[in-house]
Amino acid sequence: MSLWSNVKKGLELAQVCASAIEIIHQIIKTRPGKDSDLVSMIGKIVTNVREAISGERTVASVQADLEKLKTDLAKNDAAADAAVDDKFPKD
Amino acid sequence: VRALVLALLVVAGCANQRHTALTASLVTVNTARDTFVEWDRAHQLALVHEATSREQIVARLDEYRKKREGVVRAFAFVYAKLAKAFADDTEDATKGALAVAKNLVDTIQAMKPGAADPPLEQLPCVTNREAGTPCDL
Repeated sequence: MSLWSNVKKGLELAQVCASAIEIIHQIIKTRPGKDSDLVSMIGKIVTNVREAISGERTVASVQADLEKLKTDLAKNDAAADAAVDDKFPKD
Repeated sequence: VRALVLALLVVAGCANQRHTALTASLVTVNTARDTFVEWDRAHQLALVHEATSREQIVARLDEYRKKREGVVRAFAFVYAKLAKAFADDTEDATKGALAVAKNLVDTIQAMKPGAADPPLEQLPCVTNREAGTPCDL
């Protein structure tokens, strides 16, 4: 990889990371006292940044981002349904 | 020849800027997605905690999950716009994608723990649209 390519890649990484740091700052400001949540969210942001800067974005890869939302919501539904069963056992 | 080289450099620079902006936007949308998933889990468990009967909570969760489809549709719309912008690599497609992404991220970030159901009217691709109707890309 040429020097120019390295510089361009570096600039791109810096801009993406700056965006992520801005999000972290917003979370810290709006959610004080939630240390475990904060650490978890920062970890997810780092994962998102790594995924975003690795490889090309395609229709398929963006579709996978949407599928993750649906999968995670289905897990939440299952957890909520289990909580309902715990609180109100079926006869 | 110099002018042509300069023009090519400007075009290349703009294209790279568009790609960077779209990548940064995708990171924020994915973070908004994870924030919403966390909010959704807490919201559903809070509804269960407040419930006084099984029939009541089953109906309430059903109602909430139907409303939540609007949020999923908004995310689907934004992801589709971003994918199209990555593929098209034009100024208009990029601007459009960034605008709807910002709308979605701002709305999700404004949702506080313990809030009522999601503010569907503020999300892209939700207002005045029947469920299942695709939005214009």
